[in-house]
Amino acid sequence: MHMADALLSPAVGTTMYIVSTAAIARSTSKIKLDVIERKIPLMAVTGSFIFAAQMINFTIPGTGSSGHIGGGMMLAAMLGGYPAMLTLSAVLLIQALFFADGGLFALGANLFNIAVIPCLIVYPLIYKPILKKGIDAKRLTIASILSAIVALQLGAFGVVIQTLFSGVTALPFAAFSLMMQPIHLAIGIVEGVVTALVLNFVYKTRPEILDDAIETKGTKPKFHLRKLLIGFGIASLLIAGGLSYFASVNPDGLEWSIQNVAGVSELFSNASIHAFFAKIQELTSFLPGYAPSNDPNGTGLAGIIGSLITFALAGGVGVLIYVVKKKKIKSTSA
Amino acid sequence: MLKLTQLSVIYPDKTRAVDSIDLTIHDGETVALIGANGAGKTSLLLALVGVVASHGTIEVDELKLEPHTVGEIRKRIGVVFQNPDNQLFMPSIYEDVAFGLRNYGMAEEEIEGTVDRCLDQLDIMKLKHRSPLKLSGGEKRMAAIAGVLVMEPSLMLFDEPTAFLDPKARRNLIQSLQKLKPTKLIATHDLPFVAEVCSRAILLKDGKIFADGDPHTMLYDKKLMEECGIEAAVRPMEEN
Amino acid sequence: MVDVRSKIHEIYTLEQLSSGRSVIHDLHPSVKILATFFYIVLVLSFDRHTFFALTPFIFYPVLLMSLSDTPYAMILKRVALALPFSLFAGLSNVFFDQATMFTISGLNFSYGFVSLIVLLFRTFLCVAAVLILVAVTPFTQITAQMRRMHIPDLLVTLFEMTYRYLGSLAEETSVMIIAYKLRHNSDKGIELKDMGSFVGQLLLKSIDRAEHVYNAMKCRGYGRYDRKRRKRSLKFNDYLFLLLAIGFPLFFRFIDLNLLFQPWIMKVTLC
Repeated sequence: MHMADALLSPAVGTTMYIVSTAAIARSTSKIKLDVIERKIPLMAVTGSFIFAAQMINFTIPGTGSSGHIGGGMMLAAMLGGYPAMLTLSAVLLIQALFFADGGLFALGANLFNIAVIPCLIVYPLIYKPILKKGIDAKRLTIASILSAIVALQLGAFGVVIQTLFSGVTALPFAAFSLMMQPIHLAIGIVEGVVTALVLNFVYKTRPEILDDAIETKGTKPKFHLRKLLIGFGIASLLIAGGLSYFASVNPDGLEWSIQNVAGVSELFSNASIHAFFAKIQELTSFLPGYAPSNDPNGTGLAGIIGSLITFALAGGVGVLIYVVKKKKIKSTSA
Repeated sequence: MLKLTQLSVIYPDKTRAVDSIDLTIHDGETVALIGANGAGKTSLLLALVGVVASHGTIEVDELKLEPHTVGEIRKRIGVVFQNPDNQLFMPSIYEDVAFGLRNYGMAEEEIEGTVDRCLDQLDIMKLKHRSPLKLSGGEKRMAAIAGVLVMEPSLMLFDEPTAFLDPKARRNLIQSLQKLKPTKLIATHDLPFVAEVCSRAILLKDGKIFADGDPHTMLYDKKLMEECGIEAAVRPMEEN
Repeated sequence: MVDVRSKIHEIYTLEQLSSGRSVIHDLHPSVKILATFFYIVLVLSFDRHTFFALTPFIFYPVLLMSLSDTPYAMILKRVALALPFSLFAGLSNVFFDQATMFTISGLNFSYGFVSLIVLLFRTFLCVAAVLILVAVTPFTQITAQMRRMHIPDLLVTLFEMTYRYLGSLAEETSVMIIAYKLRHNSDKGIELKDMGSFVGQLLLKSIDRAEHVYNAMKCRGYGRYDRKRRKRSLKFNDYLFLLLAIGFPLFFRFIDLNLLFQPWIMKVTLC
């Protein structure tokens, strides 16, 4: 479920970064300083555990196929919502930087889909309430499976919305959702089952861990926080949608969005911003030889040749630098 | 310089891991702490740095261990844990050795020089930028010691220092320990090691001090050792 | 089964590369991070059908790789791993966006097809940019920069420790998997019914280790002071790099060289 940079537009990526950073800041402030200090080694080790656990392939009975867990809900159950949020942030950052697992610019979006949703939305709204009356095997199982399913559904939906609003894919909303949601339903069920098995094992051997996590002060969101989180999430997605057209250097797209996204039209009818983008368009059309991009005869061939020339130049420069460096090494070692 | 008066460590399940111990260790001594598993060695070490709660008095260079002096005590007493993987938690050896210095507020400009001197002293400069993951047992052990030594403690505690070491690394450790300046208290099973390195041995049984004296007589005393659940050492072959 | 050992090897290859020396390695980490983000954002700001104008952006990864001696093969291999997903995502474009964009000797290239190519090219550029960043910036410089950016010390420590423990936990996991396979007489994977205790044991081991680590940290004064931020000033090379790394992409973002040279290219090829 890790999104790559290439699927996002600058506006959506930036918005998701803002949302996720706010979530991290919120999580940091919600945990008391002495608690977080004590928990850091635990968070670091369980974070690495999640990373390692994701590499464990297990066989799914009856299907002959195998899968692996994501682990977000498991982490939240072990650490509490806010610490799990921070832990997953560290893991996702490491994955983005060192394993190219999810883009660096897409980190904000991935944090939202993979960390914020399970830890700050599903955990307090679904997992905890089920276990409010006390932890036992049955409640643990129901909580795990239900939470995993919902978390993955919401996460997958997040991917759909973010991709569509980025305007990178031509896939219509209905088709995309029809692909993503059922697959992630299946994944969610399996993940939920594994989570239930693991948490039950832990509860049998070391019940105090799960008891402690639920009791951790500061992880009980008040009623208005719930609303705030959901509202915030929806609002940012809407704004991202509007902004994605706003940011493209194309006044036509601008007109379209002004007509279609009512409610934020005050933002877009700002004359100076519109004028700025129009001027840029002017600048580029001022250059000699500008041919409109939908001329089927000229653009294609010239474009390909031009691109080949560019690649050749780049390759040439690379080789040149290599040769010069080799010469330098030879002369200094001589 | 280390004075324990009626020290006890009592766990929540009422076991007395350490039972009313009176002990004094003087500057410069290298003392072995011997006992069967569960005799209380590790609990005693952890109590000295306030990691586990204890009753009685602990004094280091006349400073009593109390909640507000814990930080200072931990500066004066360095602990080298049994499993170096639990101690080397930074991505590189340099960062790990610098960890303690940073926590106690040393300026960054001073840190590199201090770390370098310490690594040099233990002859492990080549490990400076390596990751702990890629080191051998012996290298990890030396790196862990560096992290503690750099703080210039007056007392160093070791928990099973020869664990995880091959013979060559063990030999290297013995030589390094013999050169270390701080007073040393070493919890260990390795009796030949004790015979070589330590000037005094304390035998623990059920949390109490059973014997305290010259290791060279104690260790070969079969009856004494068996009473404490330990196999006696075998005297090395006499040269004829 | 994902090869655990090779995954860990990946991290350490990058670590080794980052400790090399070159004009790029010596640059201030903030400048490299800023340039990377700026580059990625500009690449992504192009319309999804614009390929030709995007091509000059290949200079950035090529130049950085050459100047820093980062092996091409390694970067290309990692990029190749990321491409299938983009291919999958972009394939739908070919079906849904069939209007012809341009024609070359009778062959119609649809908007959808071009957008697929663009998607793949963007993936390559963005993944390469991040990998190069990590290949030329040592981990400790990244964390020092994070502290300079006023990210809370606790979070950076969490990041450092997680990174550190990835390796040992992955090793332990790999050993556990081998032990399981040997006794289970199968090479397929862990059975679902065993996942509870397998993963559970690993988790409990982790928690116990965390306890020991915490004790060791406390013994060395953890929690007493917030680490002081190490200052590092920007040099001439840093400003120059930043100017070039921001200036050129901006230039190519708004000036389409292909369109500029189009009449000359057409003259040459059609005559």
